[in-house]
Amino acid sequence: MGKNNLSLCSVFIGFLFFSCVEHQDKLEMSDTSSQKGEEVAIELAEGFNITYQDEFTKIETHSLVGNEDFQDSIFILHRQMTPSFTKNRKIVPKNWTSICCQSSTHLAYLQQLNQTDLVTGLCGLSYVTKGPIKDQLEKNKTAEICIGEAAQLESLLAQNPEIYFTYPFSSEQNRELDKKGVQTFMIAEYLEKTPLARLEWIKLFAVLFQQEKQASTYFDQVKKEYLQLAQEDPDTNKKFIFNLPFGDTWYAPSSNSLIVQLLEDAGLYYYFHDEVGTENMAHPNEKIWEIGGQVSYWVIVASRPEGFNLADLVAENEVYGTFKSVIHHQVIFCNTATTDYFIKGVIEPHIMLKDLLFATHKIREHNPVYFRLLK
Amino acid sequence: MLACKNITLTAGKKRLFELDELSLTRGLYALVGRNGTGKSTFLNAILGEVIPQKGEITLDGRKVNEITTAELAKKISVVRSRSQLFGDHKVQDVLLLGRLPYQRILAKPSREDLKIVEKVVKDLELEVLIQRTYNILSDGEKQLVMVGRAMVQDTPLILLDEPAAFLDLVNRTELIKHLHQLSQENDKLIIFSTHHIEIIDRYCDGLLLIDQNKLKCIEEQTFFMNEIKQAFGLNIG
Amino acid sequence: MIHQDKLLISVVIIGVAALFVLNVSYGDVSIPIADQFYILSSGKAEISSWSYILENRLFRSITAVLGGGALAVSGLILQVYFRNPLAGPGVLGITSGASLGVAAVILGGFALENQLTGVSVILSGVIGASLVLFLLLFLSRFIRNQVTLLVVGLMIGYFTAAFVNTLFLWADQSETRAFVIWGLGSFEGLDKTQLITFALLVLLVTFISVFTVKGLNAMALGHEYLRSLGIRTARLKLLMIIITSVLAATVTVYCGPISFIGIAVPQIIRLISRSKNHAFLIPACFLGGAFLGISSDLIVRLSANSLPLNTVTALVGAPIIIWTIIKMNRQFASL
Repeated sequence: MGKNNLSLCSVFIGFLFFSCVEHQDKLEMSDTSSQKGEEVAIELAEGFNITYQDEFTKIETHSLVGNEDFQDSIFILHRQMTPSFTKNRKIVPKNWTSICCQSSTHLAYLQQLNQTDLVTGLCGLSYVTKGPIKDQLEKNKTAEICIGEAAQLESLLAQNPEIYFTYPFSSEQNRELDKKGVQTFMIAEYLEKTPLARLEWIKLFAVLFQQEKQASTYFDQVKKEYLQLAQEDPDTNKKFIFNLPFGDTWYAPSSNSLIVQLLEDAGLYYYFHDEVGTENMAHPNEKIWEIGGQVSYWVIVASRPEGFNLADLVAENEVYGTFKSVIHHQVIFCNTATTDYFIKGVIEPHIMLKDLLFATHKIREHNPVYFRLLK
Repeated sequence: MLACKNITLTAGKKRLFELDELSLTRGLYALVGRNGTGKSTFLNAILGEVIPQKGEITLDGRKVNEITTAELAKKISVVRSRSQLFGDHKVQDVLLLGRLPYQRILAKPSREDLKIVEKVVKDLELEVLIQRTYNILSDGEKQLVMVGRAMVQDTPLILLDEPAAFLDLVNRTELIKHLHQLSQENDKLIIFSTHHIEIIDRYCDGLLLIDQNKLKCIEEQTFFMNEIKQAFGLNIG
Repeated sequence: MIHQDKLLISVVIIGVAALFVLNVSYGDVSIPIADQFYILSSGKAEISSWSYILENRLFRSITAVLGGGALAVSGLILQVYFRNPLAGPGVLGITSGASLGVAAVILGGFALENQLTGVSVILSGVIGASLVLFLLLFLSRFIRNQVTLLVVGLMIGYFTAAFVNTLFLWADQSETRAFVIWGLGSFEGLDKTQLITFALLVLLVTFISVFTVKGLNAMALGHEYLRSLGIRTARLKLLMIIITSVLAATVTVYCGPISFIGIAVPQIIRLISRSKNHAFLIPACFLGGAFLGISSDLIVRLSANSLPLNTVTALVGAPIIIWTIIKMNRQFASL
């Protein structure tokens, strides 16, 4: 072996040593115990539980029956625990300084708990609609941490978050991140079966930030309002179809999806009410075109320019002019470009419900926020 | 019919050769010269594809680069050193391509076209090949077919760019014999470039030799070998 | 015309006609045949959406026939001009060039979704496609190897894809979405004026291709034979550029980047037809492309639109291309 090769070799070995550097886990080094908060009771949500013990509070998230299996947990310690306990367990820090989120939905809960100032990294930053949340993120100098939906390790590490809220898609990647010192936690609020159950996830976030009381109050109030407004049974005379086609295909949400639940709570009846399943259903356009002629309501959630109206809708495809809903001006539209449907909407199901009731003339006085009848 | 006057031929900045005067009407002529002396360039200049830096080349008194392409195709046909066909054409299809200059926009072959092909097939004894696929013929057969295609084109002048380059001695001799015969019987002017000097003195009517940046025309057969050997610096004897 | 070729043409014409009728009459919404005739003759329908459904099926069938045909003719001319059996508007990156033009217009925000087929998009598509052709022609002077040209085409494709992804950064969500849908490829969704523009462009330019018949015939012998066969090389090159780029760009703009039809159809037609005259091969390829176009669309529709067009054309086209490569290797190994 030549001299050059030797020196190359030693550089290489040097790198190997370097890569074996002990990574320090900052959580193990500090005192993480915090006061035990007020216990919360979970009424509707099925995707998480909270267990209270003298020494710690355990928050567990898991899949619902029929969903893909996953499970995750995080601990809030009430006194200093031994390293053998904290090893391989996720621990909530005493003081929060930095949070990253994979879904903008997580922001909704954080906003209600006034914690958005902690958010330093987000997936899909550019998709956040203009508004108070966007302003706050800009103020935080929140970073984009993903390409597509995959977190970029370096961007994430640069934010040094105490927690990274993720979708429950990839436990493999989460374990990798955990190893590298980014504490992940799976949030699957969208798997809940009703809008109120989804809202109840605010309690999970509240436990993390010791704001149980505010969360419970907010939840109770929204729940009360929502239940007062919700209709007993959907009215089969008020059938609706949902959304717009993607290319040649019309993807219809399954009848037990959250949005269909919300719409049926408003007394509308989903045309595909009896087609059960968890996945979206794909229908050819022409099938929906035929159905469109018989169905009274058409609910659309889409991104369109401000001031989008019925004429613009028909201009997208002439056949919409034959839709019963279009003829009778019963197209209910939520513009995701101008409303905060994807974020704030999550914690305001009662307002969405009110919008829908107003659009279907069930209530008289209301200033719609998300859904409006297309003029 | 082919006349060149005061030609200076260049390739890029490189001067190839000069030619004071050349006038050919019929017969088989061999174009000989070492690599890079300008044999191919000269043939392309006759075709009007290369324009000489100085002087002019005329066909029947008209400058070649002023003759329309359509007309030129009825005066000159070409055979290149190795022709690979794109497509699995039968020999019949290849021969018919020679009639392209006479066909109308849709290239529909006329009865006369087919008759001419038939005649050439007979002359060159191509009957056994006619239904075979061109691309799988031997190199010798291919070149014979290409000569046939040039015959079908029925032009007074045929240019062949190293037609024998890939042929063995027997096929080479056969090919030159055919060319000789064609020039005699059909009253054509045929010019071919070659490196194979051993075959030329028996069949050629003239030698076009490029040496020391000059093109000379030697029409006395007995001088051919001497001139070439002198030019190439080869020992006589 | 030789007997075998007559048979081929008749079979393909009957096939296209049969698939056309099937594609119009069959669908997820079943409309009684009597009603279909009534709608098509009177324009009125018992159920108002039916006339739209039928019109949509009719339009997409016409688009499939013309689009498939246009791609195949474009592919044929490219294969013969570049003397490369694997050439085609997709492989050589000409479709990518058109896509780039479209991307610049859609994602650059110069046009809204419903103006996807406006003049500016067509124009920029044609410009993109012909720029790629100029680049290929320039490079082909230095390239002696058939495969190299294809690799260059593929690289142009990759470059385009990368460039488009970069444009995504500045595009808003609805623009991105419009582009993604377009990228899947589909014969569906043309309205009446769009269909008329599309049909006129395709038919006109395909007609112009009769002027290339003699040149393409001569190309069997190679570029160095063109002049001595009475072909004006510059004119042939210009026609080749105009025809292939307009055909490929028109289809790409209206239907998305559709792969494989442009390479597979001319490949098969050149192989099974006895005649080597392009006066026959061009219309034969058009019909073959029409056949593959409409059958692909039928498969797309049989799958309830869940298989994108490009998936279907790839399923059919890729095996043909692999087979060609094997055949080509054998042929050139014998040299």
